[in-house]
Amino acid sequence: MKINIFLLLVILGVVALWTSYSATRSPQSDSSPKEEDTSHLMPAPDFTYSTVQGKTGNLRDHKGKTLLLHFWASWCGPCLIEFPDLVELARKKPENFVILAVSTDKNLADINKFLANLDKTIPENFIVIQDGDKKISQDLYQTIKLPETYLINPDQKITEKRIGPQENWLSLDNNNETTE
Amino acid sequence: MKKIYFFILILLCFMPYPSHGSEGTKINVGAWSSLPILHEGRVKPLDSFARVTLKSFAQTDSLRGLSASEWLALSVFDPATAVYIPAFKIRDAESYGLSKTKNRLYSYTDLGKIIRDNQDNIQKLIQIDEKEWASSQFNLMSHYQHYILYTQILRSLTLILPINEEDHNFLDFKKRQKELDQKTKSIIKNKGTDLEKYTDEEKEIAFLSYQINVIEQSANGNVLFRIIPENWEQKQTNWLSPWDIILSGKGSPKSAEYMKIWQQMAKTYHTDDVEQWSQTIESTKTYFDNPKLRVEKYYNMLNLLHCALIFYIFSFLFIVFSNLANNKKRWRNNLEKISFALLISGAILQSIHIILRIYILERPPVGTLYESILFVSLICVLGFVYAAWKQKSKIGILLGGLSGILLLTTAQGFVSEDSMGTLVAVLNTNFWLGTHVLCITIGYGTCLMASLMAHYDLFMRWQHPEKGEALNQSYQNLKTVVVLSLLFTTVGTILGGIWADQSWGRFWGWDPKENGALLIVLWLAWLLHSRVSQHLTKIGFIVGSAFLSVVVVLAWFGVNLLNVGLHSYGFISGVAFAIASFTIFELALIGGLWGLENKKRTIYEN
Repeated sequence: MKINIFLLLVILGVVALWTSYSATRSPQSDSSPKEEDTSHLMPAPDFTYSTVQGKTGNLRDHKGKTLLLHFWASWCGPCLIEFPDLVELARKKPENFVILAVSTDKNLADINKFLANLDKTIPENFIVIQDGDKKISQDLYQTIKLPETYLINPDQKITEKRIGPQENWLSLDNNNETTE
Repeated sequence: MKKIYFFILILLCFMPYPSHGSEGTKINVGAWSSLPILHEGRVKPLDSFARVTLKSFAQTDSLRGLSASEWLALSVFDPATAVYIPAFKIRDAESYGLSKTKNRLYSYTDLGKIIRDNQDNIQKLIQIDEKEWASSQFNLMSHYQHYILYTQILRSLTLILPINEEDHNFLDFKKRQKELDQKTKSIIKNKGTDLEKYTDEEKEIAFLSYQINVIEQSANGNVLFRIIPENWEQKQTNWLSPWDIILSGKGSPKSAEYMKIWQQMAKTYHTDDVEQWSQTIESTKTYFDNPKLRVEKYYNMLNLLHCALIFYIFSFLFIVFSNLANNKKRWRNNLEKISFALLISGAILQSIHIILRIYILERPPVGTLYESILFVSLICVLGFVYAAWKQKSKIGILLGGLSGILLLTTAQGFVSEDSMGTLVAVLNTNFWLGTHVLCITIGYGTCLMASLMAHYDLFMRWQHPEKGEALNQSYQNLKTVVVLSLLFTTVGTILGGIWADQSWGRFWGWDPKENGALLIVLWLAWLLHSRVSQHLTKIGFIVGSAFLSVVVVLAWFGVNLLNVGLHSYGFISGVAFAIASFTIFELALIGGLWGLENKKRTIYEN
């Protein structure tokens, strides 16, 4: 009988130790991945595009550079408000930084008309793309409401998605984070 | 022994198994039902979601010819057919002008008629406090809630279901919405709103534009079917419904890919293409390959608890029959062996059931009142199995089967639609569930064991006072179990105090639940001390032990009825009558047995 009770106490002790161990082990460890580790990030799907100038290219052509994949349209008011800031951002970061501005406009003329009226020179690293059939925006990136922007790192992995117009594009630092 | 297991195997063949394959479609939703969904705070397989939802509508987790998963698949992929499936239990259907059906199940269209006819009443009731509703009003609001809920389910995938014969869906037309709206505006501007003046093409454009807007508007707030993680990279993340993804702009390339798979499922479901369906389901493994979800689906399907209960019933019956076959020793031995094998098999099935719950819920199996009954039941059965094996005694088999039957039947009264719901925050700690709650429930289990043993002991002393040695052995066993009970309940109560100190900042607060736990400890301590000091006779000790059932029931369930104290998560209602009846029954039974035993003993001693 004494042995049985001793055995029970041992079992109870083991259960208590095990639960204590699992309780202290689980919560914090998974929640905050290391900043450097990007293996968990989602790769940005590749696509072929046509620029408003008629040139073609792929997302993968820009590997090694920080990318801003911005979806907009000439009929979208909030898109037009933030557009100049994005152009300015591209101008401020000429090296290793590219903005792919994907317009969902059906008519190329609408895009060109807007760009012509824009009081800014479009730098080389600001590439305006037409996606009239919405194969890039809706089918590939599931962007339906405009504007939306994906931040993509040099390994072509998506680090962030920003929904709606942003007021602080110009404060975007090299780590794709707004400093304001 | 082989014969016995062969017999059990035959018994297993008669267990209830779910049906596969529904009428009208060749599609097997088996693998589909393992796909994940976030529902009531927990990621679970679609099968569990389907069962919980159907149970809330139809009060059963399967319909005639349709399993819960098949019903769900039909509802989301083919809502036009699903609205005619009787899946709503409406007991008061006649009062709404519906004709009486055999099983009281009605379709969504019938339910819709009730809601439309009572629209004004519903609006009025919404303004009134729920406590003031009459029973019929409560029923009406319950029908209304079911209607709203099922409407959401029916519309869950309307964005990817084919709208026209060319298999185009809402998302396809959404690409052209701007253009269609502009064209419609232009048509209205030129020709007004009279459709007669439109050409066929203009009618088509206007209708399509209208249809897209209606589908989108009706999807507002459709958040129930949460099958897509908001953040695919994080384990702990919110999940969104397909409509929520689209309307909130929280889509991503990965959710786009995943929704295309669902689109493919919808297409193959409609074309009844079994091979393509299987391939599509197989492709979801790239996104989710969680063995836990599959295990949970099988857990739902097997219903091991039900099987365990049947085994206990048969075990009990066989041991009773073995007593009747007193003259045929061979028969009696065989019946006893079969009964013991059935009891062990039932305990194994129940253990597997509880282990599966631990694996699925990632916590000790004592988070809810229902779970605690299952656990206490297993403790009792295992305790009696051990006693039966150790002492080669059939009393253990008899009491093991009886405790299994009584407690598992009681558990059915406490099972909610979702028996694996999320725990309240204060209980969400594996450490304290694994120590305090586990310890105290083991204590409850051993107390109930002691009580059952004491009942049996009283019965035997009344029926067979001449069996001195056997009665003495029985008394010694009872004493051991009472000591064990005191150990577990005392340690459990102290651990509870430490938890209370950590959670609420005090060790003891004379809370009803704390008083309940203390009551058991004091009762046990009183029994043992009084017996050691000879203040209590042997028979007094047995009678006191028999009353442990009442003390445990009061501490376990009774104090929850008081609705006061910090243990608010455990409050229950509606069992006061059952507890009172049980207490009166026990008083009569134990008192009666004691009286009869006393009478018989006097005669025997004389």
